[in-house]
Parts: sequence; structure tokens; C-alpha cells
Amino acid sequence: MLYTIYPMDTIFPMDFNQSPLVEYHIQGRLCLGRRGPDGSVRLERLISTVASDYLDPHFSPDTIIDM
Amino acid sequence: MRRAATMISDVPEAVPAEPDKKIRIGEDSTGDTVKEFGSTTVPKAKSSIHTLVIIGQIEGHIVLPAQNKTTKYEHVIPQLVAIEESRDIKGLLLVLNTVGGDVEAGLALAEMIASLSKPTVSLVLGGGHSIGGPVAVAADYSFIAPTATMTVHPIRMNGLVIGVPQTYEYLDKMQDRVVNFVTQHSDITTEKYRELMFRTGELARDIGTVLVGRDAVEVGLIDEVGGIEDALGKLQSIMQERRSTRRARRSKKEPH
Repeated sequence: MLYTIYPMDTIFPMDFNQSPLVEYHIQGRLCLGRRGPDGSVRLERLISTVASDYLDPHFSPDTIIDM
Repeated sequence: MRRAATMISDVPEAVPAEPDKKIRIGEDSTGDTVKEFGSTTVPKAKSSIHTLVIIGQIEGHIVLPAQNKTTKYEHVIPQLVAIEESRDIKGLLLVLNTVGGDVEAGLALAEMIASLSKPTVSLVLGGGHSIGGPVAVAADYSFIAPTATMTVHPIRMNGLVIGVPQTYEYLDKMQDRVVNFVTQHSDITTEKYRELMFRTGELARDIGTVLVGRDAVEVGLIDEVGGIEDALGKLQSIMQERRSTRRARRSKKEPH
């Protein structure tokens, strides 16, 4: 619980070395992820119109996927 | 065996990784999961109860930096839709250990939970602070662990605040949304909730109240003190009750 008059990006500086968000098709689902230095992809977000996809733990945010 | 994954956009050439170091989608690698997340994958046994864990900060419209543990509404909202739609899921267990976070995101989750047709039970573990409160009371029945805490405090705003009456009116409106939701979904009265919100002398550098376990039950915010056994037991009993009601309704409709 952090309350401050300072903008959040002043307190938590942006990581400029962070790789860009890229779209991937994983098992037929569109996902947004970032590639890590070791080549793996950290899943940021699943984009699906099928609600049940969101219950699949493999598509949880922050899952590391070996591409 | 690696599953095929197609990339839409070009990404830099991947550095060859050590085999079996990461989680491969759709495969079982318990050892890797333990290494990566410190836990095994959720049991695969079929259960009619779905568990949803609200952890860390409830993230709003701005992605929080990587060092924060967050609950992302863009993932949880569709999950709740899937839970409502699923024929296999008969009940929802909510486990909370959250510091709170974005008011709108928290209220969105709370409204979704409250409007589910399936039985819901919440369990506040370590903490259910701030906007975690409405999420906890959104369930049909709520539990709090004896040592868990809930902080009740007024609405805040991060970043630049323009010192004009409109800002205060806006904050007041936001606060009313929270107060109304909590009082409509729990036994606490508006007066009591507001009193807890604006209490002075309880928090070192703030106004508000910290409710520990039984305190939350005594003020009417949470239904009962308990743990996982109580929460699951209650959820099973509500599910059983609903099944019996449905059966009775069906037998009434059937011609004799």
C-alpha cells in the first residue's frame, strides 16, 4: 500500500532494458510476451475470446515458455 | 517433445538455452515448476470447486513494475466469465492475501464475484487490505484466518492531485462506491464502516483501522473466523443446498 504524490514511475523507474512486448501464437492462442535474455518468453497476457482459455494455468501471466 | 509455437513478429535470434530449464507449455515438468515457482502445478484431479487466488497488488490500468506481485484484472475477469460458463465448476473458493490496489479494478472483480450464479466462499489469509475488503465480502460467505488482517481506510490517489473541490468530490464519490458495496454485501453498517475508515490513533502515519481476525467478524465485515477446512466445508454445504433446491424445484414442475 503505497500512497504518494509522486508518480509511480518515479518510485519504480522503468526498466529500459526490458524487451518489447511481442505477439506470439501459442497452441493457437494469441499471447503477448517478452523474450528474456535466455531465449525463453515470459507470457504477459493472453488474448482470447474463449473464456475457458483463461482457466488454463499454462496461459497464466508470468508463465515462462520455452520457444 | 517441444510443442510448436509460431511467432507473428520477428524477435532476435534466441540464445540456445540449457535443455529442460524452462517450462514447456502443455507438458508436465514438476521438477522445473518447483524450480521456477517454488511450487508444483495445481493438482490435476477433477474438482467441482475452482480456486481463485487474489494476491499482491490488485493491478489497475497501469502495469506495475516487475518487482510487484499483482493480480491482473484482464486475466481474472475472463476467468470469472469462464467459471460462470463452465458446467464442471460448481463452486468458487476465493483465497485472498492482498494489500489492495486499484479501486476500479478491485470493485470490478468484486462485482463480478458478487454476480456469479455459482456459490462462492472467500478466505482471507495473511491480509485482505484496502480494496481487498470489497473482494472478500463479495462472496456468498466469508472467512478470515485468526491471524489475518484487514485495513479499512479512506480512498487515496497516487501522483499529482489538483487541489480543487472537484478532486475531493470525485474522491468522495469513489469512496461511496466502496462503502455502498461493502455495506450491501456484509453485515457492517455504513456508520460503522465510515467510523473505521476515519478512525485516528490506530495507524502510525495514517487514518483508518486494522482489523485482526475476530475483529473483522465482530464488526460484521466478515462472516466467520476459520481456515481452509471451514471454507471448503461451507462451500460444499452451499453447493449441496443449491442442488437440493434445484432438485425440489424440478420435482415440483414434473407432472405427477
